[in-house]
Amino acid sequence: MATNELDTTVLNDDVTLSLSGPWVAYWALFLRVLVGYWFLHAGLTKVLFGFSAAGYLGGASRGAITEPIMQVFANGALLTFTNYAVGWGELLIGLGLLVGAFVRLASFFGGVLMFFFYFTNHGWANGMTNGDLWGLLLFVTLAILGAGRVWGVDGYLEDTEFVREHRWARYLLG
Amino acid sequence: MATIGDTRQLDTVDRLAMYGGGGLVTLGIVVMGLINVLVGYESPLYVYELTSGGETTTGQVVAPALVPEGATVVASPLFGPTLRAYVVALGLIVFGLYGVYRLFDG
Repeated sequence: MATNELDTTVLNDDVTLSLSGPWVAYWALFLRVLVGYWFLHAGLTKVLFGFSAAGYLGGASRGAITEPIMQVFANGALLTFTNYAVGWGELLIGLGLLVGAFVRLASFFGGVLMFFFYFTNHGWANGMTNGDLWGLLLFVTLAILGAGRVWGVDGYLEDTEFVREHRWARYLLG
Repeated sequence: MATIGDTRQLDTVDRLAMYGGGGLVTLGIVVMGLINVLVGYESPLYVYELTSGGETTTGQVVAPALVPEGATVVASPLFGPTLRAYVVALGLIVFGLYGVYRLFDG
């Protein structure tokens, strides 16, 4: 029960190793819950207490490689849309991760948000290896591990006939 | 190629680390944080307002003792940041001690 052999290669080099199965599963769950709470909190506070991305989109993005995209959303209806989309998006991503539902889909959109956060917070005051980058990498890690299968809704969904018959669905779950 | 890595079975110390370490970090960050937000505190810090020269400014501090003289505390989280920090740190220390234990456990 405790160890599992990961019989695999990296760039054609045999890197077979044994892992502590319970620790890997435990850590996948732990990361998922913490990252989930991180985004749920970020989204919930925006939804409950209000949020405007105007300064971020219109001011903070100046000079960033994301500026051309950010400026498009900095005014009018698209700004209103962004103000709702960011808060609700974060909330849904966080909720999905917390309950382990559609974890790969949630991680994808979490990664997209972190991409914009990382490149728009371009002052690089803390260097280019900052928290935004680690956040992005955490989402990728959760998607790779398919962390929703550990005490998560995805574990049940993946067991359904529909998912077994539709391979693409596993790329949204996991 | 020979298999490398962890080949032992889980024991009580593993479980202590998992439940203790992970439990404390989750309690400090997730549980206390969610409760704070759900009872109405947006910030994990103590928020104060300071009126000077007719102008009101808002600030945040980690402890009530750090609120500037003359300022009014307008939001005190149910679980203060110092308490949460201690709980999270304790959980991380449990993980750290687990690692050191394993190192010398052979």
